[in-house]
Amino acid sequence: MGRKWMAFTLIIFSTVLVVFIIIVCTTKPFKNPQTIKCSGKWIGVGYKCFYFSDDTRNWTASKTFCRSQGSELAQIDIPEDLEFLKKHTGMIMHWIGLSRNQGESWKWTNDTTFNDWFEISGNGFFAFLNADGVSSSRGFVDMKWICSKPRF
Amino acid sequence: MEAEDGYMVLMGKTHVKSQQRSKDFALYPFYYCILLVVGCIGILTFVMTVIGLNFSNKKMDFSKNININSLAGDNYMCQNDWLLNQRKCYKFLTSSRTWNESQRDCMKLQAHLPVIHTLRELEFIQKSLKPGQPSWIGLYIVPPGKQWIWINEHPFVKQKDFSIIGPTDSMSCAVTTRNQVNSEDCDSKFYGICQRDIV
Repeated sequence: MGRKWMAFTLIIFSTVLVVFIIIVCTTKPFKNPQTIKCSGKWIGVGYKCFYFSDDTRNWTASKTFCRSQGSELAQIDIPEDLEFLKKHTGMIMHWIGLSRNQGESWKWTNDTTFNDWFEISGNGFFAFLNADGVSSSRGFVDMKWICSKPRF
Repeated sequence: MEAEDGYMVLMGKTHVKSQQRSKDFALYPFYYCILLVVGCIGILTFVMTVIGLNFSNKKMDFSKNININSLAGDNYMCQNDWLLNQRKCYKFLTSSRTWNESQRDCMKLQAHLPVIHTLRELEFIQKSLKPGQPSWIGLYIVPPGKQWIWINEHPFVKQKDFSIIGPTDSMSCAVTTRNQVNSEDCDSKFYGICQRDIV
C-alpha cells in the first residue's frame, strides 16, 4: 500500500513539475514581445528599433540608406533614447534625422518640427551625435549614422 | 722486570707515539684554516661572478629595450601617448570641441592643430583616424576673404589629392576624415589633432 502511494505521489509531483516548466518556458516570450520584434542588426530600446551603421556617408546618403530599409534617420523623442544613443556611439560621430534650412527651425526627416528639448551646438544645418552630445554640421562630412523605426 | 721494562718501554713508545699523534692533530686546524679561507675565496668569487653576470645581463636587456624602441619608429622622441611621423609628434584628442577650443587644448600641450606640408603627412593623419572620427586641422578662412590659410599664416595651396570639399564662406574651418577634407562651421564640435615637432 505504502509503495503504491509513494509511486503515485512521485508521478503527480513530476507531472506538475513538467507542466510548470512548460508554462514558464512558453509564457516568457509573451511577457516581453518587444525583444523578438527588432530583427538582425537592429537593437530594441523602449518602443523603437535602432540601426548603427558600420559604413560612413554624408547626411543625405545616410538618410537615403535608412529610407531604403523602411526606416528614418534616427528620431529621438525621449531622454532615455538620447542617453542610450550617446552611450552606444561613444567616440564615434553618427548622423541623426534632424536638419534645418537657413533661418528655419530644426525638423525631423518626417517633417515634424523639433521642439528643442535638447541642445544642438554650432550653426550647421545637419545634426549628428556622439557621447559628448548633439552638434551640427554642413552635412558633407562622412560619418556613421543611426536609423530608427517603431517596434510595432 | 725486563718484561716489565719492555712493557714500560712499550708504554713509553706508545706514549711518545700518542704524543706525536696529538702533534699531528694540532696541525689539522691549520689545514682546516687554509681550506676554509680557500673555500671562502671560492664562494666569494662565485658570488661575484654571479652578480657580475646578472648586472651585465641587465645592461644587455636595457640596450635591447632601446633597440626595440628605435625599431618601433623612434617613438621615444615623442611623449608617451603621442605618435611619431616624419619628425613630428601627433596626439588625437578624445573630446569633441569647436575649432577654437581644440586649438586652445593643443596649445596647453605645447602643440597646435596640424599644419600639413606633404601628402604623406595627410595620409598619416587620415589613416590614424577611425571611421566616424572627423577631426579639425589647422586650416581656416579669415572673415573677409575666401582664401584658406594655415595657422602659421601660409596660404593653402590646392593639390591634386588635397582639396577641400564644401563652401568657402568666411568662418569656415577644415575637418578631415579618413578619406577627405571638408569645409565646416568653426563652431561645430569635432575632435582635435595636436601636432608638435620632436624634442
